[in-house]
Amino acid sequence: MDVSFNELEARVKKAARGAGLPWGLAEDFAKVIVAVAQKDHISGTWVVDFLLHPHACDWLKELTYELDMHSSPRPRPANVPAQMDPVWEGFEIRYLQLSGGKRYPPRLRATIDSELWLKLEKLEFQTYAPESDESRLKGAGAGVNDND
Amino acid sequence: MTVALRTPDKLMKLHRLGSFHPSRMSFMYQLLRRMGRENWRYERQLFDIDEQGVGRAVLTMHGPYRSYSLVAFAHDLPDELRSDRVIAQAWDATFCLFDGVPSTEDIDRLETQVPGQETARLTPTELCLSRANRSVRLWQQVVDALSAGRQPDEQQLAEVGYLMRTTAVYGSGKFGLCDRFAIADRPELHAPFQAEMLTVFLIRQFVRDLINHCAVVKGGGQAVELSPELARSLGLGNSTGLGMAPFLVNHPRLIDRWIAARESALAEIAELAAFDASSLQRAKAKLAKGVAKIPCWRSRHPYQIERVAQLKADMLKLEQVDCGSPGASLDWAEENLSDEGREFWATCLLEAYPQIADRWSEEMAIDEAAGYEIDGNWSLEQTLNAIQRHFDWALKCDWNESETARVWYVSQEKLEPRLGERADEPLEAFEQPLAPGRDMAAFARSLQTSEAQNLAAFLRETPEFRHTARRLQWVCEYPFGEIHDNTISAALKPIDMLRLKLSFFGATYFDPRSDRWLRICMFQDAPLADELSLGNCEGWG
Repeated sequence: MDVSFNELEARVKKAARGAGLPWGLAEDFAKVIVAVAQKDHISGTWVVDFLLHPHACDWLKELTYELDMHSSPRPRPANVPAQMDPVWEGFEIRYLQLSGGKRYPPRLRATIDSELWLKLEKLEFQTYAPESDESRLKGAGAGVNDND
Repeated sequence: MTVALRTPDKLMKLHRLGSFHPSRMSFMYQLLRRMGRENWRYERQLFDIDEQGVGRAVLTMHGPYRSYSLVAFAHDLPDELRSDRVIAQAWDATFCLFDGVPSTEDIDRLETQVPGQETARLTPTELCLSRANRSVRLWQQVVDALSAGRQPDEQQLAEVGYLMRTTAVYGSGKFGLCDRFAIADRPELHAPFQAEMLTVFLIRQFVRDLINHCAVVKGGGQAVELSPELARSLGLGNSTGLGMAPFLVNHPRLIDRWIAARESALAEIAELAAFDASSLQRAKAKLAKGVAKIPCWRSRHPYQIERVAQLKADMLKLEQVDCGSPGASLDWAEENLSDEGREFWATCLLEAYPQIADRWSEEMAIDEAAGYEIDGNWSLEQTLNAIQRHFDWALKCDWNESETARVWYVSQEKLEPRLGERADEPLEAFEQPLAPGRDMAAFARSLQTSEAQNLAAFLRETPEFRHTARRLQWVCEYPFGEIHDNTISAALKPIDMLRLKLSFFGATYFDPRSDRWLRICMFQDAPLADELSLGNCEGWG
């Protein structure tokens, strides 16, 4: 399926938060996935598989540390586990983008497998508060029927 | 020329921001000036609406390089389903802005999607998605009058100000719409929210045509059209809620560009040695127009009633004062007026010096995809100093129960943004990161006890501050992007945040219905699409 890059970034960020990442890491992860999607179709569900891995936060802390410290591409870290491969590639693209180097030709749309989109949506939904009458009536500051 | 700007610690207070007025730098004014200057041509391509008011229409503006079309679908909505909340499922009319002129196949496809609004899947040829509801107070009265061959009561029109009001205008890639980056380089869409403003402008035109159509259906040959004068006096309403408030906090660099451009224009004006006669005349004319319009600014909300009364009193003072120079007049306003009057006088000065204001208007856009990295080489001392410099107010706040009383969250119900009470509702797990002051104070406390070598090492240990660290580095470069007030306090009035954004849109008659819900009017007194020209594209507000 195709989605806008804005949709993809927003959904991945919220899904990463729904998976338990701090907001700041979720933001960087979303940028990385957008960078991957700017290059190519995202096949399979590795984005969500990565997010649900127990070490996802630790790995992202290391990768963002490298990104924060260095403005040029870094050597691939030793002992990169298999789950990290596509994410690392995304970080490599981010390095290139941030250093103003090679940019992939802009694609008008991101394309991803629909199974991934739905799995991301499920994680994203975990960031939203369950509905309640109190919330419905008080939270938005308007009546349910705000006619004039 | 480098001149002193008003400082963020004075300007970026919520009460002050909630006193901003529309000006010639606002986005709907920018749009009409461009279209008038470039001689854009209006064309109604299709108006196929039946006797029940149901059908489709296509309204196009042709610019020098491209055309943009409003594709409208009119519906027969039972009164009991009409709601302005995001949680509504149906509307009187639904719309999208199409990039170019749509084919019949395009319209057929859009008819399967646009009426569903948040359930729609759109494509890169669609730029905006919107919907609107009729004013129950006014719609039928106007149809009755026109169908009987007479114009509606002017006073009643003025009391409402619009025949329909939008309840959302989506853009920037939502629901599959075109991404901002794909159109941002077009000169006509480079300034912020131009596609959204064009959508609203054309909806207003559609509403005029729809009410004339309904009058003819009812009155046949006896019916008359709404007079151009009355049609012009009506804007398009808008009902809006908390969705705009998170936008302000989530886009600090964009907000900085808007406010910095306005402040830079004012600073340049303030440097002028004296008013010249024609500039002073323009400022006074803007003031006189404000005085004439203020009786029309109606609200039942005590907060706004007080604000309008302050503005009225300030305007009287402004009419009597004689300041020799623009800078002296700004200083005088600062000392003698309320926030309402100070910011209104600022809009008068922008109107007085259109060349300066319009030049700075071109500086209000930013590529938010760039500049996302964090400089991890900052020392912790450097980081703390930056917090001290830009968030002094937050460090002085003790962040007790009252100061953290509110929680921003998003409901599972149609993803409506809401504000809850921390002590009363189990919402913390769903809290959105919309309290930069509280988070910055916590960041500072953690930095003070850290032995990390630098910021990157600190964030590796404590990634929960990564979002806040990025924000801090942004504010150093974009100081007008940060609200210098507590956004989760028990005393918070979210409508101040909404008014800031709406003033940059160009919205008028800000009318709160509660502390987080309001109505406004857009394009009131503007020329209609079929009469827009170089001669009337400015000075209408």
